[in-house]
Amino acid sequence: MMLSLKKYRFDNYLFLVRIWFGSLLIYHGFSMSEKDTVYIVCHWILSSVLSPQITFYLAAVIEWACAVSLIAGIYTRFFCGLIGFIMLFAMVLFFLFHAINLDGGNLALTRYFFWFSILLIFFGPGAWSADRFMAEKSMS
Amino acid sequence: MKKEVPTQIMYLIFRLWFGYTMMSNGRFIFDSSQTDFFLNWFGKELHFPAPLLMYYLAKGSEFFGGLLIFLGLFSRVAASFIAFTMLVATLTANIHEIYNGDGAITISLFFFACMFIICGSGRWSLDYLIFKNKYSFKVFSAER
Repeated sequence: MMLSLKKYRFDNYLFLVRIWFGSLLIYHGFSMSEKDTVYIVCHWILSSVLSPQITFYLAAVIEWACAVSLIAGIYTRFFCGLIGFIMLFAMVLFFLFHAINLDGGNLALTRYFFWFSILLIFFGPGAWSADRFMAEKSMS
Repeated sequence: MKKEVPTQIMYLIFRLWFGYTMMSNGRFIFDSSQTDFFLNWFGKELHFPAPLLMYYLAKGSEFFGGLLIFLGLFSRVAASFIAFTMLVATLTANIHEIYNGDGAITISLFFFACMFIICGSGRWSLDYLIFKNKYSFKVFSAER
């Protein structure tokens, strides 16, 4: 079935995009860098409540949860909405309010994360996902 | 048809953004002050043969490919050139930083370009106006 490249080409593409996007999020979750966009946004919102150390872990948990959902294709649209909103919020803070600092490479990645999220929200996770598997099972 | 409209609008905005991004990445082709930097990088660091030719091919693919995608004209061909350029950039210059820095950027652009190879220009494009390519947007998920 997977080898039917013409019929499933867009599903195969979405599968590869999900793997790539998810693995990027896992990498950024493990790196625990101060330049990480999710950390920067969480820190900006919660700096008066949480210590930076806890904020690092919070950002990592958000990224890992989104990565697992993306790779497995579970509740993909919801988690893409979450990560897309965080990226959009970061860009609004950066461009409109100049409240945070994003360097060149990080800013580009923030934009790409946002567009990957939008892409998966509109087109869904594709055929090779737990979401589709569960939908087909409930229909049958 | 009506159900497709939000997706078509999103696809149009995505196509315009990607075209603009690629044009801004390739704009150095018109900036002669950057030529020495790229020649040094391509020739001495990456050891490309004919670095001047490679420079014009790479940046030309980015700029003119981006322009064609922005207009929605020959999008599949333009996206193929961009995808090939980004793949070469990833495999030669950025292979050691695939998850960080420039590597993540070039491979993300490769994936974005692949989308236009698969889906074409969409309904609101010059491709559709000129060639009436009605099948260019019917390749989404097989069992939807």
